[in-house]
Amino acid sequence: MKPIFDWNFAWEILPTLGQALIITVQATLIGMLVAVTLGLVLALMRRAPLWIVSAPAAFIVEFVRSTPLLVQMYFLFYVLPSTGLSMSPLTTGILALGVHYAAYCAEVYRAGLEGVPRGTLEAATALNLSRWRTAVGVLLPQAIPPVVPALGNYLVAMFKDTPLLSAITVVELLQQSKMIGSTTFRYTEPLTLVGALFLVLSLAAAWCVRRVEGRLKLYGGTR
Amino acid sequence: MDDLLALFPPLLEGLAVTLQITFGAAVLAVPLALAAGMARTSRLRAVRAVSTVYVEIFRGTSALVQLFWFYYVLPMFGLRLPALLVGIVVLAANAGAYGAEVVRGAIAAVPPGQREAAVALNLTASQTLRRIVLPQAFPAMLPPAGNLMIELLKNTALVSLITITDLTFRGQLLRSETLRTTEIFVVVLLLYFAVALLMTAGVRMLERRFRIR
Amino acid sequence: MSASIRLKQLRKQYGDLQVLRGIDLEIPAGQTVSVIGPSGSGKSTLLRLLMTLDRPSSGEILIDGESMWKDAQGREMGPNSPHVRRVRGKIGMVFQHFNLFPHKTALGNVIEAPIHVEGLSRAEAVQRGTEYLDMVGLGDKLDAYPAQLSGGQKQRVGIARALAMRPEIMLFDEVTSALDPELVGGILQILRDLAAKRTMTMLIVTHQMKFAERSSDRTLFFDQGNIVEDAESATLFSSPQEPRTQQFLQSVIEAE
Repeated sequence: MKPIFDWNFAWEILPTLGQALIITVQATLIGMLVAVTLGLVLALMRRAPLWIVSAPAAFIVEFVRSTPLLVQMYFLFYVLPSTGLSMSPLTTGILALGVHYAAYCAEVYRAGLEGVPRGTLEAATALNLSRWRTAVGVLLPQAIPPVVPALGNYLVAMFKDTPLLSAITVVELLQQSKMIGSTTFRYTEPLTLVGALFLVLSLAAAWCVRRVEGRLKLYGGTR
Repeated sequence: MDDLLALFPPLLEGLAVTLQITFGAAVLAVPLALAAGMARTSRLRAVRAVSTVYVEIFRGTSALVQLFWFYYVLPMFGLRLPALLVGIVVLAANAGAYGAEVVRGAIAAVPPGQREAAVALNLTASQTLRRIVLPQAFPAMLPPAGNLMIELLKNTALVSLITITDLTFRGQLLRSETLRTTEIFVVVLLLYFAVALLMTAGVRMLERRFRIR
Repeated sequence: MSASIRLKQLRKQYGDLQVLRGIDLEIPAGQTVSVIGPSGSGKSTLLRLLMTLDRPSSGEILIDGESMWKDAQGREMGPNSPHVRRVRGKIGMVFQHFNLFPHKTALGNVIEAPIHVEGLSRAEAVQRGTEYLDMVGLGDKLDAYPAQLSGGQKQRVGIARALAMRPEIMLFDEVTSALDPELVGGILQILRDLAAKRTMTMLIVTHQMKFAERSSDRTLFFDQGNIVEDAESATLFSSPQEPRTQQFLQSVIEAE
């Protein structure tokens, strides 16, 4: 009768899982980079006075936020190649993560941008600052610090969504554990280890976000 | 055009399964969230600890990992459950954990003066919670709860990866059979979007009904 | 029916902060006592301790000779124990920020405790509630929600709600401080009428010096957690003995 949890086996597979973890972390960090950048673009587009710019941005944000990431991933994975764009599964997955979370980040930025006191923008106009300087020197420095904790939380959320990449053949943590399971018929150890890894890392990341939030409060940064 | 229409029946069958799972999990998640949310503020340390562990585990790990764990590992302990049940229960547990934080936050947001007034009138702790705190916390729970419902709807797509024939599963199946990839996934996305919009409208109606005048 | 209050070496501290430093006080049943002093002097904390909203760090509170927190055998009891609830039932409080239940009407606020604590039937509670709301001048606002009432009206509901439980001791925590000036007089008149009836022991924390001087039997001046002066109201205001009292009263006159 095999033991319920074989610690030796768990120890053996740890290095393999470690390699998959690197892929997971890569995907998270690059995906988040895409998300915060694209999200800012979308948020600024929504504030544009031109309806033809703001309406599509608003629709994209609503649509992407309300539909499953998995289906969006499938869409990019199966549809992109036919447009001539050939990317690795990992790249496709990172793109899907980035676009999906860009929609969430756009909402976060929206709250931050709306929280900037109108008076400071009027003062910038009175000082004859260019639109670019106003955005870079007055608007964004006030809009972004308060929302950093929320962005941090989305980083953690994206990390927890990386297992979806297994559905488009990327060998990240979940896929690796499934592969170990299907060859050794032992699923308990790999899946439990993966669960524990996610738990520990996301708790650690959440703790970091709280620390950053605390620091920002000290400087009067958050609302 | 005909073959496009032919896509609909199987997709709609999948949608029916998706809706089943969504509402089944939601029905389970609500009492779970209320119980865990209130337990987080209990005076008994053991009760607090249990609910905290539950909330932290289900919020701190990935929903898909949770689904796989329960689907593959439970049989190793001798528990063979139908995939549909595993899907509903795990998604309910996941949503319940996030819901618990919403409940806890809403209860904490009720002004302390309300509890003080209740003490001054000599209401018991239970009466205070039931008659004074919860009725005021409830309207505050609705908007975040609405968001969680949409998250739940999106999470149901994950059950396609543990062989449940939901909308996403059907979409994948049709794709491999007909290769009409773009059309299929656009329709699938639009169906999810439509359901999400209906849910948001429903929550907004509830918010209006329960607003404190 | 009114009750007496006795405080023995009552102390309250939060961490390193001493808010009440060894208060000894005796208030006979039926007396109306004003409590004045600068903010942070401990006046509100005193009321909170009397209302069982907080527990003393040390010292004793005796209501009609009975310990608030210790049962007959001298054991410390919890805030939800039958003993503490019985003592608490003799005390009522009106709050600075009203603390009305926003999801209930004015009448709903007033009948809540009579039904669920005293066990009155709904009909009996409504009759009693209507009486008290009439008494504070809100007979026509029974079905109004707090959001629809002015500050003065909200405070009247607060007073009616507390009175409806027929307490033997009533605590008033700066009940006019959150009101617009023109609404203050109405509330003070209600307090004056209550004091004149002499049916309860009343403890009134207030910044309304004229009210304290003319409408209460006795005034306590609090400063930095101690009772600095304790005298008959007329005497304390006309000839304060302690220099700190004199200082305080002087600065208050300048502000008016």
